[in-house]
Amino acid sequence: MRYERQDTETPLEPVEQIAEEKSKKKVHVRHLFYKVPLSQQPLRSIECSNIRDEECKHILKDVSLTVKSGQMLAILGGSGSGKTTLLDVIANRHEGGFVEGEVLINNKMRTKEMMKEISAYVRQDDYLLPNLSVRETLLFVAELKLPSSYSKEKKIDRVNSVLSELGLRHVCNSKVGGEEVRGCSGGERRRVSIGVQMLMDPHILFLDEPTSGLDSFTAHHLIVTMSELAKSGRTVILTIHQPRSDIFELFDLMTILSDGHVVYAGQARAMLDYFTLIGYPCPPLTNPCDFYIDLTTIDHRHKENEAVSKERLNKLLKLFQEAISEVTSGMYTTAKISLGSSVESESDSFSRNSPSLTDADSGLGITFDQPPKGSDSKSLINQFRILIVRAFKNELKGYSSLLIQAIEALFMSVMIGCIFINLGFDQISVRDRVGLFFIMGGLYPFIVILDTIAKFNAEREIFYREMEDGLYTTGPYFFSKVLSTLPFHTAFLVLYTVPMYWLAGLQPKLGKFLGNCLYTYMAVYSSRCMAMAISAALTNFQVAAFVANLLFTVFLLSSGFIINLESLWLGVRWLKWTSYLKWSFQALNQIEFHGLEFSCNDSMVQMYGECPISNGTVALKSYDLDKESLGECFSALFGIICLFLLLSFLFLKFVNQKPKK
Amino acid sequence: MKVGTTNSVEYEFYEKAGEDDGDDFAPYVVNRKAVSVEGLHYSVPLYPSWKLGLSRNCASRNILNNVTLHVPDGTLMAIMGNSGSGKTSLLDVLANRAVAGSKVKGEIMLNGTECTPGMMKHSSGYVLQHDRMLPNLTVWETLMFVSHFTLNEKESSKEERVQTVIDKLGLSHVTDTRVGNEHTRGLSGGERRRVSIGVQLVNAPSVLLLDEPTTGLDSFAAHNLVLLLKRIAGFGVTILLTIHQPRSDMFRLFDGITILSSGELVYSGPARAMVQHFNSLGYPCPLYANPLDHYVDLGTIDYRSESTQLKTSDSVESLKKSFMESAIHSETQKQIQYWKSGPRENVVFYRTKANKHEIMRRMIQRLQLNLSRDSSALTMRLSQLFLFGFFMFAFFFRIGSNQNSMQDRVGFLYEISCGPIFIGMFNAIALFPTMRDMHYRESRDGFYNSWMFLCTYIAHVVPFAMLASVIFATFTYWAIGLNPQVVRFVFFYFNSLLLHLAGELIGIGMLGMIGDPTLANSVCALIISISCLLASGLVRSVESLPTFLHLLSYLMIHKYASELFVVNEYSGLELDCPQQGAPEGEMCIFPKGDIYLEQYYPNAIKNFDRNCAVMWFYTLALFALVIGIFQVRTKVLH
Repeated sequence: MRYERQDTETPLEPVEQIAEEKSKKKVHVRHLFYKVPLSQQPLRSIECSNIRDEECKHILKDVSLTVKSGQMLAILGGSGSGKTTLLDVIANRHEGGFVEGEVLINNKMRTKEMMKEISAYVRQDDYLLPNLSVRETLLFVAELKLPSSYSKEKKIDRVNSVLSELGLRHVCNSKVGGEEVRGCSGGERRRVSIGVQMLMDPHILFLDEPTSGLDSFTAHHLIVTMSELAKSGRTVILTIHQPRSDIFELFDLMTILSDGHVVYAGQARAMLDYFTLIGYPCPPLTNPCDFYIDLTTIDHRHKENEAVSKERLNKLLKLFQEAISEVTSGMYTTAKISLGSSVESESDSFSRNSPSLTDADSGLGITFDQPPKGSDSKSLINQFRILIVRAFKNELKGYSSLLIQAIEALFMSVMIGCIFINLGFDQISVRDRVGLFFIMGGLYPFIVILDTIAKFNAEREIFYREMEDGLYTTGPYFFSKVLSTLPFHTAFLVLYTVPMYWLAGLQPKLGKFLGNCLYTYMAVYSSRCMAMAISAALTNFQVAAFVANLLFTVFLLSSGFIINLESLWLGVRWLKWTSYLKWSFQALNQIEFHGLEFSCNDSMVQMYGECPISNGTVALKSYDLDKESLGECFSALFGIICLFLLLSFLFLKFVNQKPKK
Repeated sequence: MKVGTTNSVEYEFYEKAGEDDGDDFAPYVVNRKAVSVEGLHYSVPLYPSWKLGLSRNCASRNILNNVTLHVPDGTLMAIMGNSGSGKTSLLDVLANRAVAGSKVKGEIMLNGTECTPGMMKHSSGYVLQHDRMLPNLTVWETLMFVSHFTLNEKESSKEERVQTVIDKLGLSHVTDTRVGNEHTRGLSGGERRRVSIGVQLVNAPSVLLLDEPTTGLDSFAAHNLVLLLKRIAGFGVTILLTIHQPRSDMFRLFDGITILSSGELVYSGPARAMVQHFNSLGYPCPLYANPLDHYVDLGTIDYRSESTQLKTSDSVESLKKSFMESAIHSETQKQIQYWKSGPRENVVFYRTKANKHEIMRRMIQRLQLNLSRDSSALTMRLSQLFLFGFFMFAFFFRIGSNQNSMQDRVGFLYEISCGPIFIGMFNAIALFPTMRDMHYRESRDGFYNSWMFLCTYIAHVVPFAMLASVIFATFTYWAIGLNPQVVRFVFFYFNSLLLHLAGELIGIGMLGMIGDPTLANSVCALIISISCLLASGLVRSVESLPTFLHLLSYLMIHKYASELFVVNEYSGLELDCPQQGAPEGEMCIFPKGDIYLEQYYPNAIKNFDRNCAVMWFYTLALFALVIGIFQVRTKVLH
């Protein structure tokens, strides 16, 4: 039974010679173990070595493999076999676990900095702003990530070359798209995600399940592209779940993991021969990947099956160990397992004791100088500038969402205006006016809060991933976010106040109107800042929405309409100082009521002897809304806004923003 | 290329799970039926039916084109094809669930007799792609309730049937485990899918249709599921299933395979002959490739670029043509002719169903059982109102009797007329969607009608609403210190109970019109907010509204609810006035509650009895409206 494929067409390392000698990379994993503590103790996690073995979950067990420039390695295995963990550990992106064994790059221990420079990691999901075009997305990353010594043209050149390398030229001006925005297809979006990582021209490219969620054609096409990338002298390492047989044919090297053990590591084309040799041939008309993954997976469903499959796995592991020692006779280079068919003879230049090794050290650096570090102020301003341009672009291009928000504001305004249409000047109209200002602060800000939290939550993923990739730091992001929302916020506010003011027939004086606008603006803006602070502090959307809802209700209850502030009992009376709605409510009432006269009908005059509420000052007094002056209201609101903004920044900086799945 | 001989080692591990314990399916008699389809065309209108009246545009899209296939009784047929090829539509047409306004041409036959709608309904079961069951019932209970809904037999024979089904599905080890769903722990995905199949098997259908049964399952579970189906086919059930990207190991399990490409046949016939067929056409499958993937890809048009599209569509056309001319196709036609001309002993099992009272009794029992096991839903139903009341108490503490307390009372009554209705609505939005989705499935399966479902649902909600309102009203009324008369308290209680129920009904009705709970939530919240603002008169006085809005307020429940609340609290209320010589500006505007009523609600006292009656009628009318919505909804669905 011979497994014949493209032997003549595709030599294994065709561009090895072309690629610069110094950019050659060999990834070598030796006896790698990885364990994570069972109990969640984030602070102690680094010291897992001190924890007894029983308290740890072993994820990787004695993994060894080698992969070189020009090769594509696929890591296969059933779910829970440790594929992604292995990828993370090699890429030095693992969290909270303990590593034993070595991962060597050109025979040097890999460090975080080194990996950051020479490798890129493409995650399983695409985190991209949906409204930007493909070119803009890449250009944005290029501006942040490529060294500032690069000219604009050079950056554009780099973007263009990545676009053509990944076959994205035909869609470079269409929107990236996402769940709600139409744009690129799923396969193209995945390519954009890869392109973002390719901008720095990494020597090693890691991809976590690049084909999941793609249809069979697109998946095949993507892996063909990856294989071309590998042939141009890069190292491509990817995990994959249930590859179809046409994809399997494209891999150079393969590693099958089961329960953290390596069941097979070597040339992909030799896999069938190897398993046939040890007595497990693949039946015809069967996808070999499926067959061998199933063969090596422990079936936990039934007790008896579990025992049988465990036994089989142990046997396979033993056979594999024997095969390795046979082939390498003591030297642990599993990539060379070819079992008789095609033994590699070269690659000795990479062997551990070769003298050329030390020279390779200097070759680790990337072809251009260090990426900008976030500390110096010039690059901070640069980051801010790029971020704010992107934020505006993204907002404006996603105009449908802006339109919805504008309609929301206008609808609320007209609705409230109609309900409170043409307020009169009788006794009842006093209560109606107070009610209007209460509703102004209670309805729209609430919607703004929910919108803000939802939007922040949707962007958190992108923010977190980009921070992790070192594109920018918290400060520039925060300020660009605050400033980019301001103009839109102002526009919505105008839509919210103007129709309501005239429909309700409030005092037609410019000063009064502007005052009304100012305090409504501040109330709504406080709500927005509060929502931002809460969603920066709490990464779970449901919890954040609940807390915001609760706080808002508290503030609303202590604003002075539902309960007279004088009758709040002592336990909650202090709340009125923190309630921004109280300050804005009070200010809005004062602005409107000063200078108003109210009439009475005859029966009332008879009953009371005089008109009980004859003018605005008395009205304010009867609701106890004259305790603080307008100036005090303004300073209080201003202070509260600053406080919320400060809190947002601090939470953003110090609370782990990792999105919860 | 002939499938070569291979040694037996390799199969050992696949066939492990396939062994059968061999005993017969004793109380389970399957009426064997062969399914044939001849020259089936199916087209759906491009525009939904309600738009047709306006545009007169009768354009339609062909989904299935001249589909002919034959599935012998007791065999397993897989329908494959890329997305958009018409797999699921074929099943829908077979199950007599074609989209409203669509056209079906061609013959569907059971044992050679043309199918009437009732015939297929009574002899088939349809397993949908999503499992829609109550998460807190056990497997045993789930299936027992199905038997109560569909069978008119003795309890013991039902139990025997259900036990057989559970045994045959390999679920005996989880008989008493809860079914579960995404949020509730329970069965694994594969086991839950088996229960979904079991639901259809309880009344021993001749034909079982499954839409993508393996989607969402891992490879082991998917394989085991198909093995199970193979075994069920062995009992004489004819099975048709659609499947997306099946693995190669399933290939051996299918008796027949149909490959569709944009609604036309690329292949339909015995699985064993498929490889041979494509080989003879010059499209051999590589030795180590999944033939199912390979042939589905062959039948797919690659739309990525114009050149690939042209190339692939040519080859697909030729594949379709050569299949129509092939021996396999003519064999299928021969089979169909044989059945058509054969003896027509067509016994259709028209089952007698349980009577409506029995079904409704069982439905209530099932809902109660589900709720009693769902601790979070129980807490939600019982505690939310109380927590709301307690929150109010924390702010209001005890309402005084000075002039400021007038403002506090108005604010308090505003909160009380908005809180319960919102909470009722939230309950519905959170808990009802699961029931609704299950109801849609079960009503299509013909278990019961919408009104039966809604009556039982409300019947199981009311006791909890009453209890929750008692706790809430008692605490709030006396702790905050409203008008201390027992009669007034009773009115207060019923008023908040009816508001609470109205909220629940509004939520349910909206969920009947809008599928997405989040959107339904927003729309409900908007409606209720407007009602609170416009009609309660507690923020904006109703009397000074312009005529149009004033009339509009009569449509809203808060018009009546708030008048009741206000009269209940204010009539006869005495308030303190500032003493003589109090500081300047202290006023005495409302020495008596009645003065407030006279100013803001001039007719409220007079209308007290009317308002009480309206509150009851309003709630009942909402209930009738909800039933109407669901009747229309299920009719459109069917």
